[in-house]
Amino acid sequence: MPVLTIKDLTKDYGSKFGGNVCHALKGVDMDVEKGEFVGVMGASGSGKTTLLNCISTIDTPTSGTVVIDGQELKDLKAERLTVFRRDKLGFVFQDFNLLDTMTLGENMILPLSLKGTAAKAIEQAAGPIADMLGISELMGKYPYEVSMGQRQRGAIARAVIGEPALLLADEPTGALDSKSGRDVLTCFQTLNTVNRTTILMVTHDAFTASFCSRVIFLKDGKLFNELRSNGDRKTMYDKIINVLSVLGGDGNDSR
Amino acid sequence: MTAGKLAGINVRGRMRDYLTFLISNCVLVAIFYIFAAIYYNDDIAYLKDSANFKPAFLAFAIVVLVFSAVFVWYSSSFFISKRKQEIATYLLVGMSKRQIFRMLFLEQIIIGFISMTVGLLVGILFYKLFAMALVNMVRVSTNIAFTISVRAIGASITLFLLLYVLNAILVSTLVHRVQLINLYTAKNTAEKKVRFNWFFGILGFVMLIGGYVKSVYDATNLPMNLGDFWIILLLVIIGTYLFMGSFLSLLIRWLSRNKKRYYKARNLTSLSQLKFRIKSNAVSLATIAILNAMVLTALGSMWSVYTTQEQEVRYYMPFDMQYTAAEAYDDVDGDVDAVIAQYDEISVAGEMRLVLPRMEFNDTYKGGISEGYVISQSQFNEAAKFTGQAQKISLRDNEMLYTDQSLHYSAYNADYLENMQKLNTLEFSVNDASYTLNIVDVCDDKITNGYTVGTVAVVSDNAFAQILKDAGDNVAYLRSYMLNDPIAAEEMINEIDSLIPGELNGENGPLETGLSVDRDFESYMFKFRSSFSSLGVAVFIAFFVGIMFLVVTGSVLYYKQMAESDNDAQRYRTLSNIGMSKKQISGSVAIQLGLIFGVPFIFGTIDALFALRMLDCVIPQKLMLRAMMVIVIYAVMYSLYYVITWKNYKKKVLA
Repeated sequence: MPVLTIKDLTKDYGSKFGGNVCHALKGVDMDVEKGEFVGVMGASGSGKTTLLNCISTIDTPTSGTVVIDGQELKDLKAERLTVFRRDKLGFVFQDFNLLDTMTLGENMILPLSLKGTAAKAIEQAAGPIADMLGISELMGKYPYEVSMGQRQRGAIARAVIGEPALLLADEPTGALDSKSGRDVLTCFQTLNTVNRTTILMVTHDAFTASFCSRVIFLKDGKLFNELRSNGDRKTMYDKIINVLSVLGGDGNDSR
Repeated sequence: MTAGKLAGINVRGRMRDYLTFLISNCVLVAIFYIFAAIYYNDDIAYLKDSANFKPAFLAFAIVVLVFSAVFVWYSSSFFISKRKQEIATYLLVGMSKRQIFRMLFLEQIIIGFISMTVGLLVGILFYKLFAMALVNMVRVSTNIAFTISVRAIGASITLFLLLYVLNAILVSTLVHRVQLINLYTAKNTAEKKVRFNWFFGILGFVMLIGGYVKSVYDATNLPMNLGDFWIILLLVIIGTYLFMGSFLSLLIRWLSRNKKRYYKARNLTSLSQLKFRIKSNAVSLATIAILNAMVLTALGSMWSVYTTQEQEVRYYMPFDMQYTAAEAYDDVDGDVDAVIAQYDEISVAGEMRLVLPRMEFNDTYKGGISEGYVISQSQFNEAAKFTGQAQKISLRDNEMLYTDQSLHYSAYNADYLENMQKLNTLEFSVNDASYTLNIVDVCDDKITNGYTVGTVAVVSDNAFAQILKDAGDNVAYLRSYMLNDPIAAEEMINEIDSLIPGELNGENGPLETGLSVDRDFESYMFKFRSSFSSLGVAVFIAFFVGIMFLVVTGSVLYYKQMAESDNDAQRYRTLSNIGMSKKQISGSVAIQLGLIFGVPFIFGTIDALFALRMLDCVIPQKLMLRAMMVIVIYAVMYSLYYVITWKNYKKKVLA
């Protein structure tokens, strides 16, 4: 069974104030299987962030269905949605969204402690993840005391500590220099291969996308193309560049 | 992790943000405690007997609470709105709204608890100082012991705890307004581009000027009635609100029209920032302007009335003791002498006996027949020598000096005297005899205590001898004393007071002039005590109200600007990237904040000056100079807030 199933998803914006209606998504179908590392690419305005928002329950679709881990999102009410988000989803953002009054360690274990997990179990879960992401030395530091790349790895640790069914990442390298960006992507790859974490990542950057096992291209709110990696990142990168050149426009824009 | 633990972490982590809030809050709690402790203190039982002590203190307690409520609510909703993104992150990592509510609630309670504890400590520490200040201001020499008032602590804790809990509930409910999508939508909601609304701008301007003109006009055409006063108040307040919104955008437009000035990086950036959010600022700036005006008027007038009060009391009571009688009562005189003889430590500097014939005259100013008294030139000069408050005079037999003892409202008085000066002669009758004398001068020099004696005609000694004969027993007897230390003689004066038959205490004596007064006793000491006990309390309270206004308006401006600095930080970062130096940025911030702080202060000061000018005409004391002192001191403290805001704003923007 796929972790994520999307059927005929549409999303309209802007009709409320009588202006022009913007069709951000015009009927998207896609599946993500357990253990996949999927990238979503597209130009600015192609609808990739809207797609992510609909999947992550942050935004509600106009029509269509989203099913995550067997649960239809439409059926969930506000309070249960919170619990669902906590247990099934992990989030990584471009600007980290770490709580600046807490240390990296406190930020990281927050989801588990909210769930009421016993202290011993929390420590057992936190240790290996921190090791894997290379931030075990930084657990006592505050976000402003560490580098951007380290902050993002802290945010990833927080996202995966609850062992979510699906890890959602929105331009996770957008605010990082190329070295830290590469470190973060390697972390994703390790999580994907070692822990079999399912990852859905939105990006506009071909290099970032080349770490994925599969890349989906959006154009004007619709699926345009799909690429599968044979395991070699360089070949994948070339293939992505080819699709982007066909896709035209500003696939490689820097916003 | 429980909500409680998280709340603790947040409070610790945000201490720097909370610091200004805590300090202001502590000041409010401390003020409340000090007042409650004075209210419950028995050392100053004397003060509590005065009629306006209780209502004044209770009213003040309510003002403190209302202020605290507004302030606490404003500043904590500021904190919460700043943390929308943080709250959304909590939602994202799986905290339920209920948990977040509980966390925020606890946070508010912890902060409230800290400020209450520190505020109470500060209050206990400073209680004695301020209680002494109050006692000093009402001119009583009582010793205040350092005490901790349990009842005052109880009252403070009860009321403030209630306030904090209510606020915590209100603030925490804000969490329901936070949507997850807030994480994505930019915090920076662009404000509507403002156009100068000519209609409202001109209407506001007209109302403001109208209010000012009316105030000047009414003050010179006394007496004014209360209705006119309210009209002026409304005109100025509404005018300020309307004008502020339009005036600011006009000012900025005018400033940016001069390209040479506008294109200086410093001005360009500060003005464009202001343009961007002028609308949201206009209302709060107008409110602050009006608050400033109120505080400055109240403090300025109170302070000048207070500082001139001793002089005023002396004017009303030129003699330390004086009693009036419709007929000579030798037995009372004997009793009074006996009492004075009992007090060895009190020495009489001089005493004077007057017998004043009653007369009637046609009063052209008030209309109808008025009653007055006649005094001889040598008696008048002797009294003048005693009190040092009247000019000595020498008159021919057909001349007189017209004095009025009962009027001292500067504008009204001036009008009255001016009117009398037009008269060349005064015709008055004593019993059946009638006299017409030339008026050489008209004045309000006082030679009698209080208001009991109204018009007094000073005539030559020869004329007086004749008038006295005509008057027969239609005379008033006055006996006056000067003492070496009239305030220290309190006990003796009270004893004498009780000897005088009829009305007790000058304060209760009839205000009407003329024959209705049969007996009266007026003492400088009593007037001094009664006016300082009420005025001292009033000034003391006004002083604290002033501090509170300052703390609250200062903090409101501070928070408003700091909230906006979050958005500005990004803009200034961009500006610094494209080559704006730190010095230029600092200058730009100084201008931006200078307008925000300066405009309401200037408007408030203008309003206050007009109000003070009006008061100046209505009450006898000359206000302006002393009020200016208050305005200057207020301006200095107010600019402290400006400097603090500027420093913090800069720190944030340049970080």
